[in-house]
This record gives sequence, C-alpha cells and structure tokens, in this order.
Amino acid sequence: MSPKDLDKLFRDALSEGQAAPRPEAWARVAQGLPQAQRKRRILWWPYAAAASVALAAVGTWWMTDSRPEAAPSQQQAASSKQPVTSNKQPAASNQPPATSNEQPATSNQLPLATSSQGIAAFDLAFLPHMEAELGDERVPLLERRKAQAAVAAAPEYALAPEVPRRRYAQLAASVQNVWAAVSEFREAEVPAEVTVEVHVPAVVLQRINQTRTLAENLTESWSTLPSRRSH
Amino acid sequence: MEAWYAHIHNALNGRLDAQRALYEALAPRVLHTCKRYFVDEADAEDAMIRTMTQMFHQLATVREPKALPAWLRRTAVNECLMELRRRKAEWVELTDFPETGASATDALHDREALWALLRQLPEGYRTVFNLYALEGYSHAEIAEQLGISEATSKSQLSRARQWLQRRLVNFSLQ
Repeated sequence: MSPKDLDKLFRDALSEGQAAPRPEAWARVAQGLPQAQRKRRILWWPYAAAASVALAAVGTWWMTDSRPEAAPSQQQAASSKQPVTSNKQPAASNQPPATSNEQPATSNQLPLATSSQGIAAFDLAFLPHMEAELGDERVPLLERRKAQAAVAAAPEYALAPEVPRRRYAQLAASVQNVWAAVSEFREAEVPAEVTVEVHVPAVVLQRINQTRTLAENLTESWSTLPSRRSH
Repeated sequence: MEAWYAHIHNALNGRLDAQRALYEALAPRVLHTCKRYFVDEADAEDAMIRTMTQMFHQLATVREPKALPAWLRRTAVNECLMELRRRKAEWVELTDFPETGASATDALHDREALWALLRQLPEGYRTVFNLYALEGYSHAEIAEQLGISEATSKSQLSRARQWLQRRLVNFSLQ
C-alpha cells in the first residue's frame, strides 16, 4: 500500500465524523457563553441617547459657531434689528427655530445664528487655514482673539471668514465671546428688549428630535425589560 | 442549508435555547476532530469546549453559516495543537515501535478499526499524520504550527506511515 493510499484510507474513513459529547459538557460551554450580548441589548439605548445628545450638542456648537464675517450683511441685520425677522431664515432649513434665548447681540464677534451659506463658506474657508502655525498657541486666548479680530478686520481679509486652527480653541473662544458679550451687555445702555433667535440647522434639529424619540423608547424598553429577561 | 443555520441569529441575541441547539448540532463534529489528536477523552472534551466557547464569542463575525464548520475545524485543530505544544509533546525518534497490542480486525475498512489504530499511534506521529493526511496541511505549515523543523515533520510522517503499514500489512486490504 503506497503512502498516498494509506493517507486516503484514513482520510476517507476518519476526516469527517461525529462523536457525541458527554451531556455534562454543555454545562461547561454554557458557563463560558458571552454574557455581554445580553447586557448590550439592555444598555444600548442609554448609550445611544447619550451619544445623540452629545452629538447634537457638538453639532449645534459647530454649526452655529462659524465666524460672523462669513455672512456680514446678515450679521448686521441680526445686530440691528430686533426681533430678528424672517429674512434671516436659513435657506435650507424650513424648521422652526428650536431655541430662543437672551444672549445679547451687541458684539460683532458673537457666534450667532448662521445661515446655510455661512456653513458652506465656513467649510470652504477651513481648508486654507488647516496648516496655520502652532506658535501662537502659547499666547493667552483673549489676546489671540484680539489679534485675530484685528487681522480679520483688515480689508484684505474682510471677505474671508476667519477660522481657528483648532476646534477646542474655537470652542473656548466662543465661550469667551459669550462671557465677554454678557458683561458688555450688562454695562451697556441697551434697549428694553433684545430678542435673539438661534436658528438650529435642520440636521441638528432632526438629531434633537431623534434623541427625544430615543428617550421615549428608552422608557418603554426599560418597562418591558423584566419580561424579556425572564423569557 | 442545514437546520442549525436558523439558530445563529437567535444565538447571537443571547437566546440560550438557540445556543444550545447550535452546540448540539456542531459539537459532535468538533469533538470528533479533537479526539483524533488526544487519546484521553477528557483532553478532547476540553479542546472541544474551548473551541465551542470561542465560536460563541466570535459568532458575530461569521458572515456565512456555510463557512462555520470549516472555521470550527481549523479552530479545533489549533486548540489541540496549542495544548500539545503546551505539554511539549516529545518528537522522539522512536526506533522500535511500542507494541500496544494493536489488533486491527479483519474488517479493516471498518472505520472503528482505523480509528483504533490512529489512536494507538504515538502522540508525535499521530499529530503529524493527522495534520498532513487528514487535515491536508503542508510540511511547512506543520513545522510552523508545531515549532519543529520541516525535516522532523517529514520523518515523523514517514514513521507514522510505517507504523500504520506494519499493522495493516498483516491483513488483506481490499
């Protein structure tokens, strides 16, 4: 019998086959079964809800924090007219304004509601600024903001929206702006009534609504949880 | 389309009955593979349990149910080899074969007889013979898997064949 034949003899007879495990073996397999899948089913909704809230928050900040220079005429309208009228409605958004608060509109640096053109301009304008030097990261934030404002005010930059090189810098700057504007607002002689409408982009608004639905579903899934588990 | 395909979805959702059904359908094949590598039933069972546990943990990554048996077989072989490596199986060059009282019956085509013969092979021979003849590994793969040289793999295989031949030759085959 040649080696090949020998191999074939054994392969044909024994390669495939079945051997019944002892009944006790299942218990040991069951011990090692992944528990995470059942847990994941329970915990999925809270995480999703939290994630959407976070996403909506970041999205709102990102969308609304484009520079005022992006749409100067509209910003002018926003700061002079009160309450803001419908000519400021974003072209793409047919949703009603989601929030309305008392943020003052006096400062030109304020990250105000923006239009869809503003967003587009912002996205485009981001590209050439991607590689700005890191050097002035060490300059205190307020001074940097002033310097940036001065640069932005120069005529040759007047049309280009100013974009910070880092997102966190942008976030910090907008917080700083709000704070500065609030103090300015307190000291200034202001008209009796200032209304600012914040127009949330349709995408973000949709997100918020989804989150609300998720939260409702969450309550429901929690209430049906015990029955599922006992299944 | 085999009956157990339907259980995969529910098993993934953590349904114990579906996991049980999947186990019932697939564990015998795995155990058979493991038993080819270990004489001791408990060793084979351990390897089978590790393989099945691994399968349940990786079930989500399985795209095609059709591919699952092949995956299981590969995993089972790897589990067995890992255990054999851990025990540092001796790749001894036996000159005289141990007389284990192998008594291949007259009905040599009988699976049982071949099965008994395979299980009587010395461990090193059996492993290499299993991998080469039954699993279809190359000598290079075997050498890599077992941490031995290709030459050792070849010599172990030829000795395994000799060992088997010697016990088969006394009986008229086919």
